[in-house]
Amino acid sequence: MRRAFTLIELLIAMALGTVIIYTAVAGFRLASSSITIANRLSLENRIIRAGMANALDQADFWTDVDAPGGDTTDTAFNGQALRVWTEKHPYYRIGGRNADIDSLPGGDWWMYSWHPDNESFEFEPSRTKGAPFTPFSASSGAMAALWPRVSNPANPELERGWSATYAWPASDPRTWWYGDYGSVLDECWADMGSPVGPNFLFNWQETGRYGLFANRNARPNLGNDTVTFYGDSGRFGQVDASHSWRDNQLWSLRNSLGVYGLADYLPANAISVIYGGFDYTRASDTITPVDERTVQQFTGMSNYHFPQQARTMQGTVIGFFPFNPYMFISPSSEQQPLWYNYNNSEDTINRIIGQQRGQSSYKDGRFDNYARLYNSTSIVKPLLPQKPDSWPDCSVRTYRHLKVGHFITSCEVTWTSPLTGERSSISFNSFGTTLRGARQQRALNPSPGSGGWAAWYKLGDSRNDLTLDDYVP
Amino acid sequence: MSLIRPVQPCRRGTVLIVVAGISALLATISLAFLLRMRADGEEVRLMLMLTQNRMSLYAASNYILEAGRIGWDTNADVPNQVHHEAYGWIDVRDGQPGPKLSLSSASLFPIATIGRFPLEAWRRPPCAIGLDQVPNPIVTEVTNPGISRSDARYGRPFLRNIDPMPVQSATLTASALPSVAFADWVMGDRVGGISSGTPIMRPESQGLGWFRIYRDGPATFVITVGAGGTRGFKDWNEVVSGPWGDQTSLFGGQLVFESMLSGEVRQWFRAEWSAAIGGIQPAREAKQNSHGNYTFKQFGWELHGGQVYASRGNACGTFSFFQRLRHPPERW
Repeated sequence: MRRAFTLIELLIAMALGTVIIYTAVAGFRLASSSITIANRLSLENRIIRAGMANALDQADFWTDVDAPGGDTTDTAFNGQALRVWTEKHPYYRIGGRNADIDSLPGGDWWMYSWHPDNESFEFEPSRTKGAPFTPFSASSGAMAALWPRVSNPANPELERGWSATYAWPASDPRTWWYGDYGSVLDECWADMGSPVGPNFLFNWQETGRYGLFANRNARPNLGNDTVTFYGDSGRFGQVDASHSWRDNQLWSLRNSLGVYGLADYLPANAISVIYGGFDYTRASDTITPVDERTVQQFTGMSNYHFPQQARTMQGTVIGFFPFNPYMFISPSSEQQPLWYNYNNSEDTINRIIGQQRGQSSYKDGRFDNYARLYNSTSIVKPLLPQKPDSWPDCSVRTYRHLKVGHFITSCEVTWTSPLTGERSSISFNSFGTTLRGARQQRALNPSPGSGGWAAWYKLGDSRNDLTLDDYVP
Repeated sequence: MSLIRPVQPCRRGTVLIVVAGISALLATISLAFLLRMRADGEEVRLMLMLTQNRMSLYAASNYILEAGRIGWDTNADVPNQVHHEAYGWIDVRDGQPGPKLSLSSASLFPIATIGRFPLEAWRRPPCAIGLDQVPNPIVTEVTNPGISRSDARYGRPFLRNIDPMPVQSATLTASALPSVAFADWVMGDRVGGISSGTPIMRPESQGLGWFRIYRDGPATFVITVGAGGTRGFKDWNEVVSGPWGDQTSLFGGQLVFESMLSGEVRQWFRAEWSAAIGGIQPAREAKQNSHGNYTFKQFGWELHGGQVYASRGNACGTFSFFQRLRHPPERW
């Protein structure tokens, strides 16, 4: 007789088989799950690494604030919002804070710089619309005569325009500052004619009229100045200032690039003060052109004495303010866009542009901490705008600002896990291309297919492309 | 009668197939996993190399800053010599290319010169100090259990040891003359002793990175940084007959060099040195007081709001610009 399974054997065999199959399936599923988790973590790590590499690229090429070849996704500015101010910029013609500017002639915001200390506007109709990535040699439209080049081999002090190959050597006397080291100074847009003491008067002139020696005007008109330490200074009339190159460089750099650009292009700790030629006009106030009285310092801090930080930008925080549609987008539910930091008021852009072009940011009460400064000086860009939903969200942003005499470039990579929603970020400081370097990377007249980048072979090579810092020969 | 059931040959084959299939599946998953981890490792390596390059860029920047004004020795192998000061890459005295020690002397790093700098860590660098942060602990029961309170050392801050402690050769005896001990400390670990020989480097630090500087103008430089083992040589031709002569012994052969070159990450930058110093506040203020006198305050000043910053000196100069180059230039 052939032996068969008994019922008990069958039951035991089935039970054992079930256990074995279950164990195998569970083990297999665990292995698969582990692989999946590992793959997911690997993907997350890859995206983080890509984000960090992207941040370093941004630090090196400034593509987060200016796309040399354009950016079709940026329908308003084509990725080049900082090349020139146009009516495409929001609130371009709105005017200013508390309708103050609206009451003035020519109330376009680009003519003004907000001055936080004096609660007033600086109105400079002769200014052109320079932005951080505006070519110096722009020769048409709104940028006409931004910073014309003037050659004068016989008298280098009278040369004008930027030279990318001139190193501002300390041995060249035209790079020196000729001023009163200890003069009490206030900016010329402070309350005119209201002397309340030596600390609140402009160019007190304790040690003489230094506008004689260096002046933005090569031939300044030194008329009577009734508000000096010694009373009426008397009249010198029109004189030939020995030095005007340096003051013109500062003036034109600021008007061409804004205050961040000025700080970037000047030698370190340069005294950011010039004498003369400030065409200040405000409502009922019109300054008599007493050229050395109209001292101008560019840091947005007034009422201090040289060598205080106000004169050398050391105590000032100057942010690089980007401008493109990302500034209006909330990077997350916890973070507000740049717009928000200005209380959504119509003067938002006035302030941004005023600070971009002329004034410091940290002294503005709205920048009372670094978080606000960071949120206002960076653009949050998604690393992968088009990606599968199951992939982590990742964004990159780069902050650039000047603080206590140091340029700082901070990068932040933020990612969100699609499974847990956990949000994490890595921040680090980087060291790379400066604004001047970024402008030299960009071609003035891009050749077809170059993507807007300037080719550079070697110093002095005729094949080198012209850059934003060069002039058309 | 046997209790073992006979198994048919076809069932043996089925089990084999099932087991082999599961094994193959697991092996495939494992292999894919390992490959992914390997790829991750490679990508991490790339990130490390980019980071290494950034560190090399820092080093190159520091070299340019320091070489312009300070740190020139007439012979680096001679201990205790005076470090000669220079006057900038554009000499502040006459506006001519520097750095030079006297007005009439030639530049120590002329225009169109290449400097090549493999980055390695010394086993014991010059002027090394030890990690012991408390070389002179006050003797108590804790430091010396059982010590009597009547002991002359007890509780007294005797400065028995130099603070911080210098790190010197293990072969240096306690009876060595102070001049010998000092020279040993200043020169660091070198092959053949203190007065000759090349520095001894840590093996694990070699072949990781380098920088290279080409001076293309009075104050402008092309900086190349690399993460890899080529020691800053552009190509094999330069190894064989470059400005440094035949250096083939460093690599053993062209294949070795080419292999290193293929795995290396290189980046190019351009920078301009400036004579202006940065990061320092020369004085707080020169202010006219109510008596018509000027008052000058000292270094270290108070920023608005009561923040106090120490003065930050930088005697070497700064950079006017830094620019990453998108492609290697023709000369570097």
